[in-house]
Amino acid sequence: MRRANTLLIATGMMATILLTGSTVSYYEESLPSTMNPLYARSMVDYRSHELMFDRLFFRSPITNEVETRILDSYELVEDNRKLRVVVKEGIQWHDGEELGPNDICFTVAAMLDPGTASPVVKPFRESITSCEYNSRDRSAEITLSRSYHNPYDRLGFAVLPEHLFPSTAVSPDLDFSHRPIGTGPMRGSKGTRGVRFTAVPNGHHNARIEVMNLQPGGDSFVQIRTLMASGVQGVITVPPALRPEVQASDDVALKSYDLRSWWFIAVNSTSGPLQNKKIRQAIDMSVDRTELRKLTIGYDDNDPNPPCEFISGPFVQSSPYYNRQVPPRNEADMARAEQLMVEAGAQKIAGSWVIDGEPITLRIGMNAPLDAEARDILNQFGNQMQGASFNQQVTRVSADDWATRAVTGSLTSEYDLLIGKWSFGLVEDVNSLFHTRTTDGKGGLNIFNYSNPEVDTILSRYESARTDTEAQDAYHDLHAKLAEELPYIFLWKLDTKSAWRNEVRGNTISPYYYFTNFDGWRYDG
Amino acid sequence: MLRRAFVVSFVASVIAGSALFACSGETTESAVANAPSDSMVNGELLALSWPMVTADEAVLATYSSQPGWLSLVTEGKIRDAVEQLGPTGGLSAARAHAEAAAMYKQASLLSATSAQATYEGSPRDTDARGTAHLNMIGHALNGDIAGAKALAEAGVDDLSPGAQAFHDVWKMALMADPAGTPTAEALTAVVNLPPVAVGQWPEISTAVHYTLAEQAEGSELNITDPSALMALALWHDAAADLASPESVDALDVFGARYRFLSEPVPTAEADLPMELVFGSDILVPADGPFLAALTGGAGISAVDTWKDRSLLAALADASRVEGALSVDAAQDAAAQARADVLAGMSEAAGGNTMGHHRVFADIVMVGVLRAMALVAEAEGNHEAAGILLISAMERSGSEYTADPEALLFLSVWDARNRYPVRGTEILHNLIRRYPNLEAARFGLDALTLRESRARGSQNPGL
Repeated sequence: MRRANTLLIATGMMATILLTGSTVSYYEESLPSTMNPLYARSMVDYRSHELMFDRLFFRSPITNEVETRILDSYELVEDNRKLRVVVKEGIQWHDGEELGPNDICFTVAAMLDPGTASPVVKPFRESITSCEYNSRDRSAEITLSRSYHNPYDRLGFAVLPEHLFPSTAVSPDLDFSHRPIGTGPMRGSKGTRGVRFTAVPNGHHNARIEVMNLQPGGDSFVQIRTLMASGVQGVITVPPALRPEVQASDDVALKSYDLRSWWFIAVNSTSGPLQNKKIRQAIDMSVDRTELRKLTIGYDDNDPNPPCEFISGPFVQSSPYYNRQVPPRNEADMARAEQLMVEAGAQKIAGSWVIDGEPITLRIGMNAPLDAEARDILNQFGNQMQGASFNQQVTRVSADDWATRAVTGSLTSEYDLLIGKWSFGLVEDVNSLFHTRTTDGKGGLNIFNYSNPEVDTILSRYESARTDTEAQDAYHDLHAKLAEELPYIFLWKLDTKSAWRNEVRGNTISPYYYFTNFDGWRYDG
Repeated sequence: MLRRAFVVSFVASVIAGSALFACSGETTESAVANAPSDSMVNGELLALSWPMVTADEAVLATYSSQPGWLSLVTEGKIRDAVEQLGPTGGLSAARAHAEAAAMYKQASLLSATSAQATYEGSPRDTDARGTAHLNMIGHALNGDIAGAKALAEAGVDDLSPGAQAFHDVWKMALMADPAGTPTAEALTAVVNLPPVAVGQWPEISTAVHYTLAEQAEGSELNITDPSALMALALWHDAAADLASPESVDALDVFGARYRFLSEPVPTAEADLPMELVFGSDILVPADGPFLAALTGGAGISAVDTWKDRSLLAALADASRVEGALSVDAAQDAAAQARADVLAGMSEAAGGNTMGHHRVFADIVMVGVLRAMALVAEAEGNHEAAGILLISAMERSGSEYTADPEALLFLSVWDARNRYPVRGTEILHNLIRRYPNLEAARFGLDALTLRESRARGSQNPGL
C-alpha cells in the first residue's frame, strides 16, 4: 500500500512537471551515452541521433525504399565505383550555417581518419575510400572500395558540420558530443536528467511536435503508471509483464519496434577459473533459464507471439543464421554441472566450489538499464549461482560505463561475468563480438577480449563467403562452436514494444533507428 | 480463459432487441442499437454486422455451442476448428477449411515471392541456375502467367531430379492452352497428399525437397518448394467445396482477399452467409463481395459501388479526405467502429459489457484496418497501405485477432518491398502453431540472407 501511494504521488508529480503545451515526453532506457553519431553505441544513442541528424541515405520504414532528405540528386558513375551527389540548397544547420557538399566530405574524412577511434566507423571505412566536393555546383563524389549491390545502404552515415570541428580526427570528448549541431528535425540539448529536443524548422524538415523530452526510465512499473496518467506520452521499452495492461487500455497503444535483440552473459575466459572450459560449461548447466525468465520477465504460455524465447547461440531463433541443430538449454542440470566441476579439478568445501585452494567467487556485472526489462535479473542470476555453490558478488554497471568500458574490453580485470544484450537490425553481423581484437579494428566489441583461432577462422569464412549459403553455413558453424566454447552464455531473445498515448499520431516507428519519420509525428493532446 | 469468458458471458447475457439474421444469410429486421449520429460509422450498416447480430442469444448459441467455432473465433486455432467442425459440419466446416486455404496460400506466396525477389530481383553470378524455376513460380502466383510461361518456355537448366519433378508439373500447366497454374490433382501427385476429406488436416514434408548446385564449387542450395504449400492450399479449397458444395461461389468470395493473384476474380455479388462472416474481418454480408471487387477487377471504384451495402465500403468512403483515403481518418474509423460495436453490444446486453464484447470489438477494429489497407493499395497509395497493415498487426497481439492469413499477407507485402525482418518473426511464431508453415521458411530466409549481406556490416546496438 505504501508503495502504491508513493507511486501515485510520483505519478502525479511527473504529470505536473512534464506536461507543457505541445511538449511530448517519453521514457528512454537511459540517457544517450553521447550526442555525437560517430560514437553511437547504444540503441538510445541511435534513436536520439535520428532526431538531430540527417543520414545521407536511409530506408523508408514502411516501403523500404532508399530515400534521402538532403540530396537533390544522386547517381552512380564509373562502373558504380563512385557516387555523385548534389546537395539540396537551403538546408541549414541548427546554428544557421548552410549545409554544403563540404560537410559530406568532411564526415567521410572524419570516418576515414585513424584519429577517429570509433568502432562505429569501421563498416564505413570498409566501403568508402575518399570524397571530393565542388562547392560551385554543390556536388560531392564519394569513391567506394568496390562496386556494391546496394551502395546506398553503405552510405547511411549521419552528416556532421565541418565548421564545428578543428580537424577530421574527431575524438569523443569534444564539446560537440554534449552540444551537437545537426540538420535533423530537432536540436538536442543533453542535461544531467534528460535530453530536450526542440523543433528546428528547415527546408527539408517540418517537425510538428515542438518539444520532445527524453527522460531516462527507472522503474518500469512507474513508467507505465505515468504513461497511463498522461504524465508522459511514450515509453520506448515496455517489458512483457506490463504489456497486457497497456493492451487493455483504450488510451494507449502498443507499437512494434523491429529489433532483433538477444540477451547474454559474457564469460571472462581470459583470466581466473573461467579459463577452464569445463567450469564455463558447469556455469551454463547451472542456469535455469525457465526459472530466470519466469522470475524476471514473466511469461504467458498461451501467448501466440511469445516475446521471449530461449536461444543457444548469437542469433534470434527466427534468423536464418540460427542453427536449429543446437537446442537451447531451458533448465539447469545440476548433476552434470557438479560432474564438470569435479572434472575441472574443483572441490566442494563447506558448500562452495574451491579450485587450487581458492574459493571460486564470480564477480557478476550487468548493464544497469536492463533491470527495467527483466526486473532484478542480476540478483536472480546471482542467486542461481549461489545455489550452484559459486560465491558471487553482483554489481550494476552504469550505461555510460557499459558503453565506454565494457564493450571496449576494459572491464576484463574487474568482472568474470557480464549480463547484457545486443540489438540488431536486418544485418546480423556478429564478427565484432567474437573475433580476436586486432589493431585494424576487428573484435571491436569483444567484451572480455575472447580469442580463439578456430572461431576467427569461421568468422573469416563468413566474411569471404562467395554465396549466401556459405555465409549461412559459416554462422551455423559459429553458433555450434560458441555453444560449446561458451565465451557467452546465451539466454534469450526479447522483443521490444513501445507504448504511446493515442494523442501522439502519425508515429511510425522505424526499424532500428526509430525516429526516421519524425516529421510525420504530431501531438493532438 | 477467453473461451470460458465467451461461454459464460453468452449464457449470462440478457439480450434486448429483436431478431436479426439467422444462419446462411437469412436477413430479418434489425433493431439493435444504432451508432451515434456524429459517428463515422453508418449505424444501419453497423446493425447488420456480425457482432451486433450475435448480440442475439439465439444467434450466438448457434456458434458458441460448437467447440469448433470457439477454436476458430476466440482461440484462432484453425486446425482445431477443421477437426472439431468435422466431416458433417457443412458450411461451418467449409469456413474452417477456407481459412486454412487462405493461410497456406499466403504462406506459399510468401516463399515464392521472397525467392523471386532474391534470385530475380537481386541476382548473383553464383546463384544456382535452377532458381529460375522458383522465379517462374513467383511470377505465376503473383498473377503474371505470361512471365511465368516465358520462363518455362526458355527452359530451366541444372535441375536436380527432385526439382525436375516439381518443375514438370508447373511446365505442363504453363504450356497448356490456356496457360495456368497446376491443378490440385497435379500438385497432389508430387507433394503426396491424401484424398480430399472434410475435417482432415494433412501434413506435408517440410524437410529439404531437393538441392540445387550453386555456381560456386561445393555450394548447394537446400530448397523447400513453394508448391508444397500451394498444394495444401488447394487441398483445403477442395475440402471447403466438398463440405458445402452449394456454397462454392460464396467460398470463392470469402477467400478473394487472400487468393493467388493467378486465380480468377470471384464475381458473385450475393451477400455472404453468416457462417462466412461470423468472427471474421468481413463485418457485414456485403463486405465479402465488396472486398472481392476491390481486390479484383473493379478496384477502387468498388467503394462507391458498395458503400450503401457494405460497412467496410462505407467506412472507406467516410475516411476520404479530398477524395483520397486518409490514414488518420481510416484509423479513426476503425477506432470508432470498435467503440460503436462495443456500445451497441453492451446496450443489447442491458448495459453490461461482457468479455466477448471486447473480443468481438477488437476483431472489428483490426478488420477495418486491414480492409482500409486494401482500399489504400487499390488507390495506389502503397505507403498508406503499409501504415494501415502495420497498425493492424500491432493490434493483433491476441489469439482472436492474430489471423495467420492476415499476418502472412503483411509478410508478403513486406517481401515485395524486399523487407524480410517482420516476416521472419511472424512466420517463426506461426510455425509453432502450424508446423507445415516451416516449408515457407526457405524463401524468406533466402531473401533475408541476400538483403542482409548486401547491406554490408553494421555494429549492433547496446
